[in-house]
Amino acid sequence: MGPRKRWAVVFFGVLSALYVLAGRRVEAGLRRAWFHSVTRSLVTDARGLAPPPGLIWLGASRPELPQSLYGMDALESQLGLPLKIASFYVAWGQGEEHAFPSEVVRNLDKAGYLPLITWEPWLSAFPRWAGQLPPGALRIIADGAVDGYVRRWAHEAVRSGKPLLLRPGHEPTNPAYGWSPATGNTAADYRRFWMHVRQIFRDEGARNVLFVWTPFGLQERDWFPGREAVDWVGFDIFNFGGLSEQGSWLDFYTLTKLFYDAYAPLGVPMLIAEAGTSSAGGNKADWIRDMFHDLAQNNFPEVRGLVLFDQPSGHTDTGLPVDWSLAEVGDAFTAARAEAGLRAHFQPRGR
Amino acid sequence: MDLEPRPLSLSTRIALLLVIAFGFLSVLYFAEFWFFSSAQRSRIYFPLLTFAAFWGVYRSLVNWYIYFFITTPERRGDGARPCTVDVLTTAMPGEPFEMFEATLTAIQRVTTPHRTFLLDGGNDPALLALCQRLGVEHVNCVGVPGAKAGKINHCLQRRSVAEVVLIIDPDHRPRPDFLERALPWFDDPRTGFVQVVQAYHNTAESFVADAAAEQTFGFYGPTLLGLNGLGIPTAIGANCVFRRAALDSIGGHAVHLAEDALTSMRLHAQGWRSVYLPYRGSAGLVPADLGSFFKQQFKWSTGMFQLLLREYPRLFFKFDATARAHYFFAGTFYFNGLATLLTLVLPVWFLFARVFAVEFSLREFAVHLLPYAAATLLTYKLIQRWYTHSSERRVPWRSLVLEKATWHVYVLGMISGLLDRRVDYFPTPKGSDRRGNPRLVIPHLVVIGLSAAAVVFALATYPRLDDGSRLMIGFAVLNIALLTPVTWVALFPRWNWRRPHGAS
Repeated sequence: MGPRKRWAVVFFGVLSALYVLAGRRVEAGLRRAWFHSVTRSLVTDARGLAPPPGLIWLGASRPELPQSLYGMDALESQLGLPLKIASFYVAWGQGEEHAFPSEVVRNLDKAGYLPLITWEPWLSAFPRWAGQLPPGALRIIADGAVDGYVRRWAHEAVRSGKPLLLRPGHEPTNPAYGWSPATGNTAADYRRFWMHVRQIFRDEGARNVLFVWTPFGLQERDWFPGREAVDWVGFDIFNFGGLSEQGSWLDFYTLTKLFYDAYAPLGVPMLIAEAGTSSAGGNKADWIRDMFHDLAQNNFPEVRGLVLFDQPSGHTDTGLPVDWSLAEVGDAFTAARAEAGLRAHFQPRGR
Repeated sequence: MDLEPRPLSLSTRIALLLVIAFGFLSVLYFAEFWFFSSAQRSRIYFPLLTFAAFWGVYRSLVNWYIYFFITTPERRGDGARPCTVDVLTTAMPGEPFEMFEATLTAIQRVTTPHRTFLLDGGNDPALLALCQRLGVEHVNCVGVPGAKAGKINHCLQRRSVAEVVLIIDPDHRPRPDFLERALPWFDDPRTGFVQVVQAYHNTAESFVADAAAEQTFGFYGPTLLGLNGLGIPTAIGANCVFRRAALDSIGGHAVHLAEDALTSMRLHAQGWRSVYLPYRGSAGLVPADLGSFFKQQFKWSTGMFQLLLREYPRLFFKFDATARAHYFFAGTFYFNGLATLLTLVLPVWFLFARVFAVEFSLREFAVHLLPYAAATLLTYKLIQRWYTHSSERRVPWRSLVLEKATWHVYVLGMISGLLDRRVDYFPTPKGSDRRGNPRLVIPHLVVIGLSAAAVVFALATYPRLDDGSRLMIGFAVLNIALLTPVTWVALFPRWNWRRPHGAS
C-alpha cells in the first residue's frame, strides 16, 4: 500500500471515529443553535394580544376537537356568529396524546382559530407514578420532577410559533382534580408550580404562549400567582339549574357578576373560559340568548372572550349527568341569531 | 479554452479534503437517520427504497474516494523512449467517406514519424484510393472475426511491428502534437498504456449530443486524474496509446463488447501501469440522436455486466486491491438502471396501493438529507476545476436528465448482460437519425402517465396527506419533470437539433 492510500485509510478512519464520538453532540449543538437563533426569533409575540376594543372573541370546546373542526362549522352556522377560539384539553403525561399537539395547532392556525389549551397536570399519567395520583403533585412539579416534559412542551410551543392560550392547572380548588387541596396541595404550592412552569416557558422563549389563570371559587386570591405571571384570568361559568344542590336556576349575569367583581381588582384581562347551562329547571335557549345579550350590552367590559362549553356529557358533583351542549337548543336559538346587531360584537375569524 | 492541469496548490488540496470530509460525514449522518432513527419501516418496501436511495450515495462515496487521489501526472522513469509508432484506425462498411478523409488527413499531419493503417472491414475501393493518396497503409480485413478488436489483432499479427500503437476511432481527428505529448510517458518501462481525453466536435449539433458529452466531463478530468493517482486510469476505446509489449502480454487486444475495459482489466492484472494525460489530443463524434445514444449505452452496459460476471472473477486474484475495488465499481456501475427504475416505480406504487416504506417526518428527512445534498453540490462545483475545457463548467442538468431517461436501456443491458445473451459488437453509430422516434420513449410515456395519475389519485382520494404521501407526490412530480425533456426531444425531434442541417 502506497503512502497516499495509507493516508486515505487514516483520513476516513479518523472521520468515522470523529462521527461516532462527537457526531451526536455536534448535531444537538447545531439544533440548539438553530433553535435559539432562528426558531425562537420567528415566534409571534402574543403579549397584549386581544380583540379590538369593544369586540369579543367567541369560542367553543367540542367533543370532536381538536381532531376535527366540523362541529365548529356546524356551531357557527347554528349560532350565526363567528367562532375564534378553539378550546380543548390535554393531560400531562408521557406518550403521544400528552405531547404538545403540534399538528393540531398548525391546522387550527391555518383555519384561523386561536387555540385555548387546558393543560391538566395529572401526574398519574407518568409511568413513574403508574396511574396512582401522588399527594402534593404541585410540589413535585415545582421541585422539577417533570421538567423534561414541561420543557419539551415549551420547546414545541416555540417551534409552532403561533399564539395560543394556555390554562395550566385550571380550577385549582376543585376537589375533582389532582392539583387541588383534596390531594394535599396548598395555595403556596400552586403559586410555586405556576411560576416554575412559567419560567421554563420564558427560558425557552415561548413568547407566543399566553397564560390563563382560572379560579374555581370566588375567594381564591391566594392562589393568584401575580400580575406579571398571568396574562388572562379565566372563569368557568356553569348553571346546573335544577341539578344543583340548591336547585336554583342562575342566569349568566348573576354568576359572572360574582366572579367579575371578585377578580376585576386584579387588573388582568378576562375570559369566560367555559360557559354552559343545563336545561333542568329553566329554558336553555333563553339563558344563552341572555348571555350574548349581557356581553353585547358591555355589562362586563373587561371580558374579552367567551368560550362555550358545547359538550353533551358532563356531570354534577354528585354524579348526575348534565348535557351542556347547545345542540338541544335547536331552532329556539334563532331568537338570538335574529337579534339585530349581535354579530357586530364578535370579532370574525380570518387572518 | 483548453485547460492545462497544474499541480494542486495547497489551498486546492485543503478545499478538496474538506469537501470530501464533509461529504463522508454527511453520508454517515444520513445513513444513521435512514437505518437507525425511530420510524416504522416496511419489511418489503424499505429494502427496495434503500437500494434506490443509496445507489446514488454509493456512487458519491466511490467518487469522493477517487477524488481523494487526484494528482496531475508526473513523469517518472528513465527507460528508453520507444521510437517506432503505428496508428491504427478501423472502417466498417456504411461509415461516411468524408469522415475517413478528414481523420486520415489529420493522422498524417501528426508530427511524430509514424505509420498509419486503415483496417477496412469492407475493402472499399474508394477508401483504398484514399489511402494511396494519403500514404496510409490499407489493410483488407474482410472476414476477420472479432469486430474492431479482431481487426486490430489481425493487423498487429500481420503488419504492425512498432513498439507503440495508437488506436484511434475513425471519427477522432488527432492534433498534430498528439504523439509528441503521449510518448514521453513510456519512459517508465512499467507504463502499459497512455489514455488521453476524448473530446467531441459535434456537441453543438443537438441536445442529446450536448448532454451525452456532458456525461463525460467529470470522467475525463477529475475521475481519471483520481484514478491516475491510484495508478489505474482505464483505457477508453479511442485515443489510447498502447505499448506493443503490453498488448502482446495479454495475447493482443481483447475481443469483447466492452473490449476497451477488458483490455485495461487484463493489462492491470498483468501488473502494467497506465497514465492518464489530461490533454485534448483529438475531437470525435458523440451520438447526436437518441437512438444512437441508446444503442451505445446498451452496448456498454451489456458489456460491463458480462465483464463483471465472467471476466472479473477470473482476474480477481491477479488484481491488486485497488484494481479489485475499481473494477467492481466499474462493473456494477450500470445497476443505476435498476435503481432509477425503482425511483420511478415506487412512488407510483406507494401512492396507488397506499403503502409506505418508512414513515419519516418530512422535516427530519430534509434536515438529514440537506448536508449530503450540499456536499454533492459543493463537490460538483469543486471538481469542475479539473475539467479539461472551460466551456464544460456549467450546471450539469442535461447529463443528469439524459442519464435518468436511459434507465430502460440500462435495465435491458443488465438483463442481457447478466443472462449472458449474445450481443454482436457494433460500432457506435456515426450518422445521425433526424426523425422522431416515439418508440424509444414508450416506457417514459408510461411512467409519466402513471406518475401523473398517481399524483391525481392521491390528491383526489386521500382524506389527508401525511408527510410520507407528500414526499412520494414530490418524487412523482420530480420524475415527470426529469423524464420530460428527453421524451420531448424524442417525440418532437426539431427540439433536439440545434443547427439547420443539410439534406441527408
